[in-house]
Amino acid sequence: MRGLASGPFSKWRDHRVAEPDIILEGRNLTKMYGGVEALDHVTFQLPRHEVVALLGDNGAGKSTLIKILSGAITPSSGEIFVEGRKVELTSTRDAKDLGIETVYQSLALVDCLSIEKNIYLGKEIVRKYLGVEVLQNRAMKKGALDFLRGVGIRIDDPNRAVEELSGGQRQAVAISKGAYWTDKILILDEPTAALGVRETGRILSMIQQLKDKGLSIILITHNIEHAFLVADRFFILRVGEKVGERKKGETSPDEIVSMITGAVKAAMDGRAAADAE
Amino acid sequence: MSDAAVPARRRNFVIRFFTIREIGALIPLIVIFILSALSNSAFITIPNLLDMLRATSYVFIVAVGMTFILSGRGLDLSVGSQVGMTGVVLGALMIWWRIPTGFAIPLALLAGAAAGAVNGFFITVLRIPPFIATLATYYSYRGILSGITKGTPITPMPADFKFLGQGFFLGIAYVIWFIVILFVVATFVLRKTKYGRYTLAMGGNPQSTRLAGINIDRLSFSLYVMMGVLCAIAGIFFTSRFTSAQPTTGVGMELQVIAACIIGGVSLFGGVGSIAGTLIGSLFLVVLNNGMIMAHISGYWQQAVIGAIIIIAVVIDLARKGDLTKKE
Repeated sequence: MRGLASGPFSKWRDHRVAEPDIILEGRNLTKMYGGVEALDHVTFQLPRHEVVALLGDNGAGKSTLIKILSGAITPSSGEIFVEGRKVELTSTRDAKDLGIETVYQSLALVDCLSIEKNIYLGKEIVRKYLGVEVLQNRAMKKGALDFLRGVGIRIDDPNRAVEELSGGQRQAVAISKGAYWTDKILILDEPTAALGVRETGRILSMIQQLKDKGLSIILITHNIEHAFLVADRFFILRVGEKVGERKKGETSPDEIVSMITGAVKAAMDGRAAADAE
Repeated sequence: MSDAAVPARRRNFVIRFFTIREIGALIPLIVIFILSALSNSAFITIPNLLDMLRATSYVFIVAVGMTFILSGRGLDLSVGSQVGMTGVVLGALMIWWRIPTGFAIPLALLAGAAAGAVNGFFITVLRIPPFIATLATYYSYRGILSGITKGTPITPMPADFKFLGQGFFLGIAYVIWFIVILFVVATFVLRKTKYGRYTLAMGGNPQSTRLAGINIDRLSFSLYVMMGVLCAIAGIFFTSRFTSAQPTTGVGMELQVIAACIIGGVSLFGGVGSIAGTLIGSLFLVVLNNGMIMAHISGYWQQAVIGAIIIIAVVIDLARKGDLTKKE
């Protein structure tokens, strides 16, 4: 089994100084499916109050990594730390209890329900009358709309089912469904996929506002431009291994693309070959 | 409030009125009601109106359960057989085994719950699609009751059992009082409790609902049990009304009940439904029947009208969702 130091991508190994305040860390995470390593000794750190963009091509291991960090699957080996404490995430419930909320874009919403019914689904506000729990729809509506307004999303008609909202509004509601319930860690899976330019802008500014409110965010995306707009840091995976990690000020989109595709290595190999001639 | 705000509010109210799902069924109901009233003055007398309500009640009781089931993206085709079986259970208990009415009624309810639980087991544990599972029990339950009765009615029911179906309170049949209470309770449960909310959510998107931490299998199972109990209640009232357990009781009822739900705006695709709509749908079927008889129109035409109304109701539903104009 290859470790980080001996892996083919070891040249991008991180030389960063130790971060003092890491809110979420996965250390040496490995996940085997049958004999295949979907994730190979990956160490991932999420600094507090930062947005880390998790980048990589299809099959790079992004979703395996976030599934481990959100408790949906357990790693074959490796450890997870939340705020410096070692934790066991055996279910998404465990993760939620520790303040880790995950938004899977395609599965987030129940289309026929309205905004507040979606955001509060499974955690409704109730009051007991004669021992019977009664839903407090008005309080939930107020809570949901106040939250959305707080992150810069305006909804004209809050009574509509979310299927009638625009793509951007739907995405905002989906993100709120996770963000509303945590003040710590939010994992967003492709929040800007399939959105128009303007709507993407709104969602990115919402992510910025959530960060300003104090959340630490992992952003999974294919879009490097979007990652550069909101992320403080980039974490790149390729075929199950960590390729490297960069701070925004210290890298360029070109370098990130090369890290994702492996083009840098190929180009350098090419140059070396040319030099030798 | 400023003067300018008033017309906007009013317009909003008008738009809201026409986007209420139940309107699609309420307007045809009112039209048929008025036509019937015009064609025969006896239609709009109190006794006839109460008769229609009473006739509505059996379908409505079962349709309440069906509203929950359909809203949760399920289906129960066995309801008619379950209603029929309740009569046989009552007959066997009270007439064959001489069990007192006070015990027989709870036992019949229990038997209903068990019949529903069998459906729930097939669907949530064995993962048989609801259509197939309840098609099977539709035949099985009917077969069991026919086998037990050998095709002949069990009769007569004891005198102290008749009051339920034949008694009156303040001049109104018990069963009508019951559906009033059922209407209020079911509306409350569907709109104001977690149970109702989760049922609608499950119908809208089962995966998201499960991800929200809701045990959808248990919820689904409980819906079929509740359906069984409601079928038993309908069966008890029906058997009491006619003081005999007929082997043919409830034949064809499942389609009537589903029609009542669909006309009332319950979506067959899950996630949407209201008890008020279902009541309107149930009333529609009975008023149409009664009105056409009173207008001396052949009963054969009724089914054609029901079919047309179902199509209209579904088209309105699809148009509202925008599915009609959507291109694949």
